[in-house]
Amino acid sequence: MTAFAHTPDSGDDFPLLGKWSRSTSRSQSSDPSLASTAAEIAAPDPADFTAQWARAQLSVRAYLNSFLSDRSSIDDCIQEVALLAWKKGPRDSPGDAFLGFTLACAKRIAMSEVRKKYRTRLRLLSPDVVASLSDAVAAQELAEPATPAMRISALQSCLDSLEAAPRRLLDLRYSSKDPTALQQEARATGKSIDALYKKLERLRVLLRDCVAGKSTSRE
Amino acid sequence: MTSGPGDFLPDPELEQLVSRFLDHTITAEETAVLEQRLRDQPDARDYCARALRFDATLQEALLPQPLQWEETRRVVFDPKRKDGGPAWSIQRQQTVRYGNPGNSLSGSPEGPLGLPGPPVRRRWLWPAILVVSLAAACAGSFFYYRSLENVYALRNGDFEAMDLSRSISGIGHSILYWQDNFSTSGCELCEIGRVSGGKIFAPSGRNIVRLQDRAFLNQLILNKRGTPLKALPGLRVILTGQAYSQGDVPHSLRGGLRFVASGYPDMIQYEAATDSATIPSGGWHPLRMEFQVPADLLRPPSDLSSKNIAAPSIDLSGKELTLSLDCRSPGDSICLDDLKIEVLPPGK
Repeated sequence: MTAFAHTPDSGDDFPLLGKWSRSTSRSQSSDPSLASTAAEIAAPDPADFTAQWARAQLSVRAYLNSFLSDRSSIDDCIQEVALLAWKKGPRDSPGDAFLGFTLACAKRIAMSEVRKKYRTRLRLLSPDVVASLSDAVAAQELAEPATPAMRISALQSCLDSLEAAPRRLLDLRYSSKDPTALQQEARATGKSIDALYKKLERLRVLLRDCVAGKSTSRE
Repeated sequence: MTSGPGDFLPDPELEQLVSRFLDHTITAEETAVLEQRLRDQPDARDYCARALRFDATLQEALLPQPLQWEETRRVVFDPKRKDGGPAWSIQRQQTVRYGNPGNSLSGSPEGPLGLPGPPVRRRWLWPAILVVSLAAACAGSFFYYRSLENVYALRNGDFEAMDLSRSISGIGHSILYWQDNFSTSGCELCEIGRVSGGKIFAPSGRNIVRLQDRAFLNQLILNKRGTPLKALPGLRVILTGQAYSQGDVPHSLRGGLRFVASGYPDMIQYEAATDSATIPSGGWHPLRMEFQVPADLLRPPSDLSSKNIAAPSIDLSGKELTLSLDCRSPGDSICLDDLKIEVLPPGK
């Protein structure tokens, strides 16, 4: 694993967290006691937080994807990360500090969730593989030049170019709250479930190539 | 999401493994292969990481997740703290909602902030259900236990608790629950159909009890919790059942609610209430006796094993009551079956 700085809360290691410093001023007051309390009272600026979170959310989801597989668990973890970021996240620090903080929180929360999943014998990748994979995801996210908005926008335009049937398949896989939606679709269309998953695999490759093509042309 | 010019091109096997991993359709064997490749091949690991990131992007593009929470604060400003300076104190409470309308987490239809449908995490839900269930079970047990307190019933009132089918004679002298404190040889448990050669049958089941003249039955009256019935002024006990006698003259059955002060060596009993019934001759007839406990319960002894015993009068209030049935049928016998009691507390 990459050698990381220590998080203030858990002792877990994570990159970029060292960039976030608690000495970052939250208040201009000269009285130390009043300075800290004034900073507490001054709630995080929703606009600032929104901007920071908007930049971090996709990375947090991608990072959590390397630990966990089911969507509801990931959504739960994102919620916890967001709340921690709201309460304790660096507000006035330079760009990457907030992302580093949220990924550090995500790691701690995800590891806790993974321990629960292992207890329930839900099959996951081995811990060493998860660790190296999550490091790879985090490194890629931190090195990603395109903003989440740009990435989603590029993907959205690729999605818009799809025909109705493949788009419906993607919606069933990623948007449906019914876990048996794909099985029902297979029964309704007379196809095997394996055929639908194969189709999904091809669609993802297609969309990945489409997004890569857009980013290449933009560069 | 960018992919650099020197990106690794996955082979079809890796593509399929990663795709099946993303769709949760990967088998245990495939997982082992994927794990080995992710350990051994950094390029494969980077490819898998890119696939995971793209999957997250797809998720965000197809089902963007709104995030919202409510926050309340109480801020207290104390202008003069102990050390002389001012002080702030802050209390904060937050409620978090996250997700799309109706999506997985909790299904809250609408959030108070006006955004549609962000479900609430309900970590308290299962503990709360558990606590409520336990409380309901405790309350149910309590009320059930209390309800048994006032339910009195005769034990082995139909005399079917013993099986006489293997008895050669069809007659037994041990009558379960009916010989509390005392027993008498003139009392028999009979499989009456066999014993009478088919002339008489029990109103229900096979067994009845046959009482010779001067014979008796005794049963301590218990509720469903096993607590004896206590004598109280105004208490009523109604005995019903079936009775049979033969001969030309009616026979008499005497009953009483008694307190057995001593059984051995000296028998001392006190009677709280008494009643008698005349049994018409020929065939089974309904039997009904009613015992009313009077207001004055200071009683002299009613039954003594010897006239020389000097037993004092006592107040029977709160004393345990035994139902006694005595046969007064000179030269003949009385048969009883299906005996039941109803206990009516004072005032009912």
